[in-house]
Amino acid sequence: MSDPLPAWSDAFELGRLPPVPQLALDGAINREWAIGGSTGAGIKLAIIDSGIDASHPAVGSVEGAVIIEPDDSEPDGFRVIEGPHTDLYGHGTACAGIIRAVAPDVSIYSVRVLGERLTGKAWVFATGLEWAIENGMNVVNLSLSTSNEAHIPMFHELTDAAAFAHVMLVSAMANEPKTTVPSEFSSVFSTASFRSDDPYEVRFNAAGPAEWAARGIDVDVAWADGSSITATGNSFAAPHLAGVIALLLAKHPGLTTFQVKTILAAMATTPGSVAK
Amino acid sequence: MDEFTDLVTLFDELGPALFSEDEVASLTALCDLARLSTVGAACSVSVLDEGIGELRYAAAAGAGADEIVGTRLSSGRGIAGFVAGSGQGISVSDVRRDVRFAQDVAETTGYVPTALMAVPIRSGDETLGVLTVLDPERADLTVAAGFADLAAHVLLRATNTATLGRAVAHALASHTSSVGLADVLRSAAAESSGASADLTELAALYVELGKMSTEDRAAATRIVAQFTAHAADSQQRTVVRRFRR
Repeated sequence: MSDPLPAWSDAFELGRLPPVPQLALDGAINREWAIGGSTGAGIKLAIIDSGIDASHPAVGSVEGAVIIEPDDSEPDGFRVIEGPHTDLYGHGTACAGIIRAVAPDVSIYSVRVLGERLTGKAWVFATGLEWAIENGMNVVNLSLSTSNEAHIPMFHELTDAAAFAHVMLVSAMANEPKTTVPSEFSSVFSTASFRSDDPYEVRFNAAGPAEWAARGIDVDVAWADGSSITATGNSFAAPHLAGVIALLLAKHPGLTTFQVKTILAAMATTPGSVAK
Repeated sequence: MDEFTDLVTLFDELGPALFSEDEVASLTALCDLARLSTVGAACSVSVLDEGIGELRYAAAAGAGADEIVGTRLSSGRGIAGFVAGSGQGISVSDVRRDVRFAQDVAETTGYVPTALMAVPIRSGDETLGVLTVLDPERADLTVAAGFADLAAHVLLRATNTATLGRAVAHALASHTSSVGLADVLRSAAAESSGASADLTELAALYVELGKMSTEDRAAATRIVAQFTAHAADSQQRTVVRRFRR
């Protein structure tokens, strides 16, 4: 008869533990080992935003699309509309164009939760995130957040669920110094910006709450109606990092959230170094 | 009740335009300071009226300031509209390359910028307006957000007054002699939401207070005065904390 164990401990009995991908290192982790030769093929990446214009030349293609919108006549207060849709603003198309440039073969899914003025309700955003976790996405780009701290418990639950399901949530920090949810949670890839011409460059700040940064200053991005704009913002850094994570997962399938963070930290540009 | 119906229309149309001279002077001085701090050509504060779906430029300093004040913009238009909708501050280095830019509005002011930065003016989760700096040499969103925090205090006071005025006017317009004003206000509060409901409920309480004895009214006034002093103090401490971050 085995010893009585404290709650949660039985999962750690040897023989019960789930398999964990081994990193199979033959040297130091660097960018070439992490993402060299990867195109992101086989990885599902959701963009929760204003929709995606699949016909924009910078986007290429959209594998799947869903709209989540409030509807008082539905029992849950919202409805889910699956099928192609347009981008109501251009913001989601901008993110999709960046991701396509970084990870050309990744499968992009559009989860539209924002309206014409780029406004939306936090619980609709949360429902979109839930959809992404439940529908087997590997990476989710969140270039949106809420500053209403009342939503912390709801997003805390969802981001933890994503972390344990090995769904990488890349969440843009606000552009001003204000607290936003879920951007500052340690379970997500909180992303800020730096100026660079290198779309694969990653920087790591162990002190947080902005733990990661990527290219996000004066970026040429796709926009609505087939146009493009030059934009600055953490909204455009997050899809760069999401694209890099897609490359990493395609080359090293099954990595956990903290394994991905370990590898990104190892390939990050450090003071006095150039991108490895 | 026709005069009250007219009043309702007036309140609805003016909305956040109802600023005192003192408030406009405060916002203008704030714009000037923001412009100097960011070494920009101009700075403006526009106020969001979500009911009408408009941004109205309430104060400005620098190039084109006189022309932009009073201008109305659909809240879905322009880079300011983007900021109002998304609640996100942005910096744009070349507005000519940005389809969001409302070129026509800029042209009416006689000053078309090359670059701009814009940040939301917020109170809690609510966007009250947008602070925009044209051609900043120091395009620092953190600095702009600091000025937006200050602007929020002025806008919040002004918009609360306007919201209360609008709610009272709506209540008066539906006021009939068979129903007490306090009841009408309570019923208006029940149909409103957020700040409007709270303020309308407050107006109903004021009507009740008016019927009380001099001593009771004096006691109630002292309690309200103490509460507002405490609230103002804690708001200031919040701003100080944000600046220290």
